[in-house]
Amino acid sequence: MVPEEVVAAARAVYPDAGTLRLHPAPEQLPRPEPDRPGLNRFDDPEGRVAVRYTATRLVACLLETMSSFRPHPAAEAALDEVSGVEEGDVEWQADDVDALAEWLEAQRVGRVRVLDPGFFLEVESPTLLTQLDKHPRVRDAVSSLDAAAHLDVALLRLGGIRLGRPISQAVGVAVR
Amino acid sequence: MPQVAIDFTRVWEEAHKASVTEPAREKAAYLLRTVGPRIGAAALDLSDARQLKRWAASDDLEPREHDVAARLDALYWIVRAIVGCYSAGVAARFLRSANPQLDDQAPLLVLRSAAEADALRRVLVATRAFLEG
Repeated sequence: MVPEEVVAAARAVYPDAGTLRLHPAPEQLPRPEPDRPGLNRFDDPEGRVAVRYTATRLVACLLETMSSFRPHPAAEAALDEVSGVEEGDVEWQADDVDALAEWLEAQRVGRVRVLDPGFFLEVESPTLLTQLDKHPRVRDAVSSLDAAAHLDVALLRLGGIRLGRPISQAVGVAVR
Repeated sequence: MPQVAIDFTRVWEEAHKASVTEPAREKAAYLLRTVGPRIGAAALDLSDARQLKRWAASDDLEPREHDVAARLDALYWIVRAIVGCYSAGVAARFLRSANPQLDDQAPLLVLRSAAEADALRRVLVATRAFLEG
């Protein structure tokens, strides 16, 4: 029997209506690739698990996935400096919206529902944080940032930036 | 665009295989046809796009510097994978845009300054994350 608080926590993150995934093939789930982990993986540095990102609102999916299309002035300056481009060559303009239209047209919205909440972890629970803080890998990651610190919610949320990523990755390993 | 399920892993693997088997001439020609000489040259840190055109026009010419050859391999892999999943326009837009997985650097800027395999790998990982979602 799954404890009520675990079910409640799972429902808070993954409501009964499901969460949304934006992708041309939202049903695909890439296999874990331990021999070729993602260097920047927020929570799975060793590529041991299949990761699926979802959001409760479509606008969040769009903001997250389209963040790779923001203008970059330094890149435009570097492109302007290239010589030897002639009439008739393939050229793409910085303000070209056709590419975004093509990308959007390929996207589909999938709905993700969790059928079995038995393995959910509320990683910000004080009890779990205390246990995780004793794990050697988590200890190393926290100590390298601040020798006197103990794992707490603030440190865990530092995983959103590169500085704290070793901590969230260590926690990702420790919870298995 | 037809709604056909794309096997992203297969496209990625095929692009990788091509990047290690195709000659420099074919890689340069492909980049000229897809993202064009300006983006191709900038990503390879060539000030003059005519160098890329010379590689595309001759079997006897290829990058002499190891760093540039490695960038050409990586750029070809990246562009071919994105074109296989979306289009040349999406590949061009991806390369010139700020990327959250590269600390908001543009992939083409990281590529052009890449002197070590690790920098190239960062761009490849960001590309794969872009495709897998």
